[in-house]
Amino acid sequence: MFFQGNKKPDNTHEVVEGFSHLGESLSLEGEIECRGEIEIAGKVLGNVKAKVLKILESGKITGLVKAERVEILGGVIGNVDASTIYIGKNAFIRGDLTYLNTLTILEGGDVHGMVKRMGQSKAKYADDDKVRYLDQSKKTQRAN
Amino acid sequence: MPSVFLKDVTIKGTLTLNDSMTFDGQLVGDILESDEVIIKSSGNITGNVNAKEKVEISGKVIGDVASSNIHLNSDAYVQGKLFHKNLSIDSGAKLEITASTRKEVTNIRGK
Repeated sequence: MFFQGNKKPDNTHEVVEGFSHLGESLSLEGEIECRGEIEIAGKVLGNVKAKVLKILESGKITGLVKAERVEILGGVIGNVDASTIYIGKNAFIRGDLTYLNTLTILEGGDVHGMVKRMGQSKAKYADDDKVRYLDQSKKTQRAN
Repeated sequence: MPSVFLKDVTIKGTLTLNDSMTFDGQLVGDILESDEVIIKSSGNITGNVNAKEKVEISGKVIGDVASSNIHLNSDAYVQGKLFHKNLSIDSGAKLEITASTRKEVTNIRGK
């Protein structure tokens, strides 16, 4: 092609200030991955992976959630896997919670699913790039 | 509140929104039914972009763009078809496009 010189510097590991925001009116069908902090106020149908994840009251995720720190004030249908999980009073969760350090569920948080504390050895958030899809996890849930 | 996606965000899939959006990350997939889309200089979109009001591109877009107003900034790289009422291009934009002016811009849904 003509524009070989257009290549931008690789900013894959650059630290970004601030956080991304997925607005209330937005719906995403697909995966999202964030190396920093992200707030979700809209609807996501698919897996979400982030370092710091905040699901606001209007936010709803149908899919697997994987983060270092996750704060859930809205709804999640799918498993949550994080080092620190915080569940607010109006949260709605249908799926298993796997955590490493801290789990907080405020009075009123609606959780249906298995809650498990994971061993230190299995905690590899940073370099685990395997993506399991929702329908696969459903199959395993049924098998169990 | 309009959506903002920073450099560290990677999305695979279709975004449907009735709002404006600022995008600075990586997207493989389409943006549908938005009002206004601003693609910043680190933004990289492989897919079609539809917006009712305005699309402003400073980053890279490979795919078709349909909007009433399209503005391509000087560091834009665009490859694809443009459908627009008004088009403006800053000097320095790198383009491989076919542009067509329409009286009414309709969505290019996934085509």
